[in-house]
This record gives sequence, structure tokens and C-alpha cells, in this order.
Amino acid sequence: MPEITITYIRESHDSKRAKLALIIPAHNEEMLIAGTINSAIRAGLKRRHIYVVDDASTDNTAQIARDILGDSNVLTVAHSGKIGAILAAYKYFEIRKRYIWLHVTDADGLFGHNYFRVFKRRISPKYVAATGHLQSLNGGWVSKFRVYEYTIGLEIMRRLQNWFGVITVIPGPTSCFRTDIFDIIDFQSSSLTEDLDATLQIHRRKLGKIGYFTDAKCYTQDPKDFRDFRMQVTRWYRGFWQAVRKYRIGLRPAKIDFYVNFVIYETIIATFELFLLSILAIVSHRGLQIFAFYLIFDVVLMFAWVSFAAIINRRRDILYAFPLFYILRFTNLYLFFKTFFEVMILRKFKDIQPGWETVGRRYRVQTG
Amino acid sequence: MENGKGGAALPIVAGTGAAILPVTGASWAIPAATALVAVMVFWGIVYFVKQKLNG
Repeated sequence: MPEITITYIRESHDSKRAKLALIIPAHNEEMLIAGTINSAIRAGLKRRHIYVVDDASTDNTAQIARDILGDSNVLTVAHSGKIGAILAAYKYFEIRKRYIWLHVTDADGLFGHNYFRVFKRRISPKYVAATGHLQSLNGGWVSKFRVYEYTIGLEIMRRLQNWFGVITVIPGPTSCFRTDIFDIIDFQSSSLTEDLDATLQIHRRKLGKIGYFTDAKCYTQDPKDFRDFRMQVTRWYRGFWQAVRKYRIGLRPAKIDFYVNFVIYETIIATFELFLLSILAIVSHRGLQIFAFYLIFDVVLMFAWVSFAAIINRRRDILYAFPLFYILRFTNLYLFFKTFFEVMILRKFKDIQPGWETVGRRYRVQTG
Repeated sequence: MENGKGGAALPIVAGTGAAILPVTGASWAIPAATALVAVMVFWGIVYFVKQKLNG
């Protein structure tokens, strides 16, 4: 892929362009779409800048969107998948001509009350893309685990990524691109995780800096049960390894390569250590003692992390599901290596067109 | 958190901590870990059953 440098040039018609548009792609989202649109309005975006593209829904998604936004801001397209729908709306609504920035979100998200006010204030030519702070909506035990995961992954790791300029993914629910950059990124790249793919293109092609606005909070719906969790994580990891292979992440002397290597080897070392301690536990009594210490340490440390997550999110309820987090941790670990084998060794999923992975797994959430 | 996004440091710290501890004479470690696992399993089952009963 050629590396190009983009220099933002103030275009003559910038003064005529509005600052920010929102596109919400949707397929059978009647349960949640009204909440997403209304939260965007409450978060500071005017109705006329919100567009819904309905990807051949068979329910009332399009009608609900029209009732809120009017006919002119809702487009129905033939079934083409999420990316196909977004690109169709981008062209149909002339986003490039009319806006400086485009925000895309999933139809299951909710925006915090100042989300777009923060974005409109902070997006500037020094960034090529931007993302907000993702949090988990209330839900079942999987959602509680995600509160813990997001706390570690976003409150700590994402801030460090931002500090070092190595944000690895602009998540689907909170992804914002300058429209001149949106034109350059190849969104039809047969990736299972288009948000990760787009972010890595920004790094690989040296398109510019990604902004991370911690005070712009966005809430997303997590899998409702273990089966959905397994499916979602499998897709994420397959997409992760696809991108690692495609952009040869980890093989160049760039910051993003160092960071991705760090997270891969961190996981491999942790797994190797667990394997080694398990062997020791089997072959000697002293090894069993060390393994027992390991177990106690791990539970104590993890309980401390989960308590930290419960405090800063004011979600005491996540502590109640603490023992079940181990099931999801080890599922994560298993899927990490399973998908590595599938994608990197067996070379599967080279050419795949993702559909709507959310079909059939939406549920009503308790907000607040 | 062994999810390739960063965060596997926790089991690494736990494992390294356990390995470097002087365990000679620490005979309480195995019964303590066994009790901990029993509590965790019981706690997990109670949570799961309560969730099922609440729909």
C-alpha cells in the first residue's frame, strides 16, 4: 500500500460547509434506533445533520427514523451490508461537499449528553480522525465483564495509546473522520473489523493524528449471552489477525508495530507462564504450592481491578458477577489462539464480505 | 483480559509473584487456594441461578 502524506488545505468552500454530520447505518434496528437518534439530538447535533441509511430492513426501522428526522434525511438501500450502506449514504447525501467531518455510529449506541458538543469543540484540522470514550450499557453478566474490560482497555490502555500516538482502533460506535480522509480510506477491504482496518490504514499510510476525546462518552450494547460473546470476540480476533497479516503489523520500525507486538507477546508470555505453572503443579508438590499462590494472587489482583472498575463506573453490580469473569477471560484466551491458527496458519478469511453481525442479538437495555 | 488489547499483565504479575515467593513451609497455600476455588464456584453458581430465576 503506498504511503502518502496528507496536508490539510483549507478548501475554499469550508466556510459553506457544516462542521459535522452523523450517519447511522441500520438493519432491523426498530428496537433501538429511536434511542440512538434522540440521544444524538440531546448530545448537541441538530436533526438536519443526522442521516439514517436503512439497509433493506424488514421491520419499522426506516419509518421510525423518518418520524424523527423527516423523509429527506433517511435513505433506504438494497441489502448491501454496513459499509455498503454507509458509502451509499455518503454519496447520496453529498457529505463530502457539505461537511468537514463525518461521524459514523452503530444503531445500538447511545451518546452521552454532551457528546457532540465536545466533538464540535475539539475536532480541528490537526486531526484526521477522532474517537470518543466508549462505555458499556447495563446488561447481563457479559456486559458486566465488558465494564471491567473497557475500564482496563479504555481508561488505562487507550489513554496510554493516545499518549504514544498508537490508538489501534477507532471503535464503530464512536468513529469520526475528516471527510477528505474518509475519501482516501479503503473501507471495502474485505475485513471482518472495518473499524480496526480503517484505523490501521491511517497509521500505515501516515495520514495523520487520531484524536481521543475522553469527555465525549458513548454507550454501546454488549452481547446478551455467552454464545453472542463468543461470536463477537471470534469476529474481532479474526479481524485483528486479518489486519496484522494484511498490513504486516509488527514487522516495521513504527510505533504501531511496537505496540501491537507488545500486546501480542504480553498474551503469549502470560499463557506460557500459566502452562508452565500448570506442568509444575502436576509434577511436584512444591510446584503445586507455587500454582496455588499464583491462583490466589490472580484472584486478589483481579478482584482489585474489578473493584476499581466498579468504583469509577459507579457500577457496584459488576462485582456480583466476578467469578463468572474467569469463564470469559479464558474464552478470550482460547479464541485469541484459535483465530491466530485459523487466520495466520491456515490462511482462512482472506476474502470475506461481512454482513450485519448484530442480527438477532439486540435486547432492550435499562439506561440511566 | 488475555485479549490481545493489552491487559495480560495481571496474570504475568500473579505468576511471577508466585514463582519468586519463598514457598518452603507455606503449607497453607494449597488449602487456601482450594477453599478460594470452592467459594468462587459456589458464588458463581448462586449468581447464575439467581439470574435464571429473575429471567
